[in-house]
Amino acid sequence: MESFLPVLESAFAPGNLAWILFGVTLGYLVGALPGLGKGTATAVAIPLTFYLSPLAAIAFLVGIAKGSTAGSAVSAILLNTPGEPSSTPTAMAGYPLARAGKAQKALKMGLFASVIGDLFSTIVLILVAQELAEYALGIGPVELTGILAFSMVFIAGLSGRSMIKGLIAGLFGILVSCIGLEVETGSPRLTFGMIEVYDGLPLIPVAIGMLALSEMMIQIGQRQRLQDEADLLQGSGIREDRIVTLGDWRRSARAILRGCLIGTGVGILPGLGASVGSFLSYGAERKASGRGADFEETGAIEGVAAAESADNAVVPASFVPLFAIGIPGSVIAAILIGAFTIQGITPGPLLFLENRDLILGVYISMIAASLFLLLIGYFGQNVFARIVRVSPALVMPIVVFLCCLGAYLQGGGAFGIGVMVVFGIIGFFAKKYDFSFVTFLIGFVIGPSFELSLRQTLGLVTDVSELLDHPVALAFGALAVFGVWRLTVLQRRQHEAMVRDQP
Amino acid sequence: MRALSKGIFAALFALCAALPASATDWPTGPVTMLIGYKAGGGTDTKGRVLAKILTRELGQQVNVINRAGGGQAVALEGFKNEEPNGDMFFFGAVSGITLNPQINSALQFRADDYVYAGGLTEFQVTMVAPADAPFDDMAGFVAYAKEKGKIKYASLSPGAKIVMQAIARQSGLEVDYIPTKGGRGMVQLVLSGQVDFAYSGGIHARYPGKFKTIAAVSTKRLGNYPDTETLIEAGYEGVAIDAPTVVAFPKGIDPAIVAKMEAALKVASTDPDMMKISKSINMPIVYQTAAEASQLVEESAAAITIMLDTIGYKAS
Repeated sequence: MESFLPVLESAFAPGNLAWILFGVTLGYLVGALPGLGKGTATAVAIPLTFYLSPLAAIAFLVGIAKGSTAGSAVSAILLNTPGEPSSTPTAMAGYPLARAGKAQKALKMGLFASVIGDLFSTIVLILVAQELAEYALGIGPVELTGILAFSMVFIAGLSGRSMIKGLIAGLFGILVSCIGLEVETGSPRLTFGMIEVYDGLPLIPVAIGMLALSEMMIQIGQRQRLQDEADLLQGSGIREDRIVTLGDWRRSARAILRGCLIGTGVGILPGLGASVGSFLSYGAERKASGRGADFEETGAIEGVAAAESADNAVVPASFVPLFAIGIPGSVIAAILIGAFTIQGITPGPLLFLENRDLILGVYISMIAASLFLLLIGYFGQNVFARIVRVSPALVMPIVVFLCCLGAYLQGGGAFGIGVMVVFGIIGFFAKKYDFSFVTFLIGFVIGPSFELSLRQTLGLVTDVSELLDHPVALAFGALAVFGVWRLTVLQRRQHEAMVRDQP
Repeated sequence: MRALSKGIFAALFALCAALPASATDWPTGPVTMLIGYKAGGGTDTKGRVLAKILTRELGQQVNVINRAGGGQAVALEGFKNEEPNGDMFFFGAVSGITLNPQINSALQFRADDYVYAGGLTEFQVTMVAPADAPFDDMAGFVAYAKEKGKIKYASLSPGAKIVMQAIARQSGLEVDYIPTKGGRGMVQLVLSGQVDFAYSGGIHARYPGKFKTIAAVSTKRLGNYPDTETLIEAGYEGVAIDAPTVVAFPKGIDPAIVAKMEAALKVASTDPDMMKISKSINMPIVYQTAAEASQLVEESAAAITIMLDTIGYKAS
């Protein structure tokens, strides 16, 4: 215990705190830009950390990760263009609120839910990193296959009106993710001789195209209506609509708690990612509320709370497998490995023995980052809320420019912009014909891990009876099958009821 | 428009070529280091430290760009067409240069499309097993595999699969190939007890007490594992992949630029930062002159040809 004081001293050193503050601010800003997410923000910042002490470097990067995760809710709510895929449900429930003049309320709830999810997950990380890592290791390829199949079905069933269309979109996403060199032997698949796609289509341009660019195309077609709406977005002027009331807290408490648990759980399992967390949490709240499609039509404060709390809870929890066994649970964690090694530190089993002070310092810095996030977010929102007062005619070209910039930086130059445009057009038609573009993206993102874990399973399980040794995988597989059946039946009933009601 | 801009480029190029820039002036502007892996991996980590040292040694900013894909193939394919003016150089493992064109017939580049300015470190390419495996060398492994009937092998790259196929063919083993992505996927499969045997680029050294190093895959014994036999010593003739990291320029580069880079690499090889990072990522410093590196690339490419012939590999 006596060695604890110097740790506190170094963690609370003004220099260290300043770097955390800078990281959170930078992250929040970048996160608020459409299409630029935590992966981009952290990767771009790595070179800056060369000249910092290990603690300041890691605290800075963690600050960026936390800030950008929360910041992506801002553009999701105000512009209906999520800063990154995991904030998509926030846009679904939050943008209608903004259109109803409750932008500030939605932003605040999003921020509070983010900070709570973040803090909860950080505390879980601190308390149980080592113990939980042992279990995470037991989640092998077989279990992961089951979990991914279940997630896919669950998201397909919830993100559109039709389960079948959702599954079609998801499977199309998986098909697109097959482009590139096949993982085991390196044979090219669907590459048509293009070297640029050997490592698969770049994720960021695909995501920006599907999410932001297609949205801009749709909005350009409705410019006049949006101009009218922009006036609405200025806020209703009623204080109730600007603040989070006690009633809102009561409605959202359950969603936040569930979001914390789901996000933390998803973060600890390697390879699922923040999108799975926020969608699962959002879907669960949507189901529990019994409001159905009403959620996206009139907006739902508890939907924002559910998505944001889970989204932010994923980040600290994904450090559990990183710190304890050296396996990253998320993109951020993978980037942090690079930062650790630059500083000559090896994440893994010896981390708690050899660099105990550093880890304690990182823990303290992470909690400090949570608090800074609250501060920056709360005061920054007034600035960001001004975005909505700008005419759409000004916002759209800027967003399209930023889209191009993001695609250029993250997609290997002009090729990335080409990819973005193609997927912008696909996304435009997907939105017009109600094929869930979100399910497409999830399929695209988890496609490679799904293929890999399925192929590993086929190699590892040589006899069907061996599946009995994997009860977790069996349970998730059964849930996936049940989910398809149940949701299809429900939707058919709804459809029949609709037909009957029509004269 | 296109023809016009091409014309302008050609004119500018002719102008530049006409001005006899003294090679000792190089570099006169920022230089780009091309890395064929994503940011955060072993090559990238090392490359960024090297870039810092080269910035100091060359007196110009050295920037890193990552162009990942196909085991460095994407980066190398584009790099072949870069102007040989010293503005961009490649830093990465030789295996990407020697193995890729031989297993993927779609690729245009060949090892002799580049000029090598020297080598700096080497990946500790090894065959590994879980620490509790009941064998310590290749002979023990083969006996164990035969007794077990069929073993599970974590295959983290096309090269890793080819090496195991060569071993299996020669010793008559039955193998289930479990594909996995990168070193960390391999570590996860081994630590959770799902596979019996694996190929490692050296990452296993970060998990002390969890792995046994069974054999070196290189042609000569590895710096960090002087007591571990190579596959060739264990009787697997021609089964070897060398993965030292080298610095390369496109063909046609001014020899004076190569010489200047060679000298800067020699300084980098004794730099304290470089020594520290090499230790922490298990890639010992093995400095090689430009001539030594070129010879090694040639030998390594020839060794891979022989190995592919042995297993009857057909390029896709």
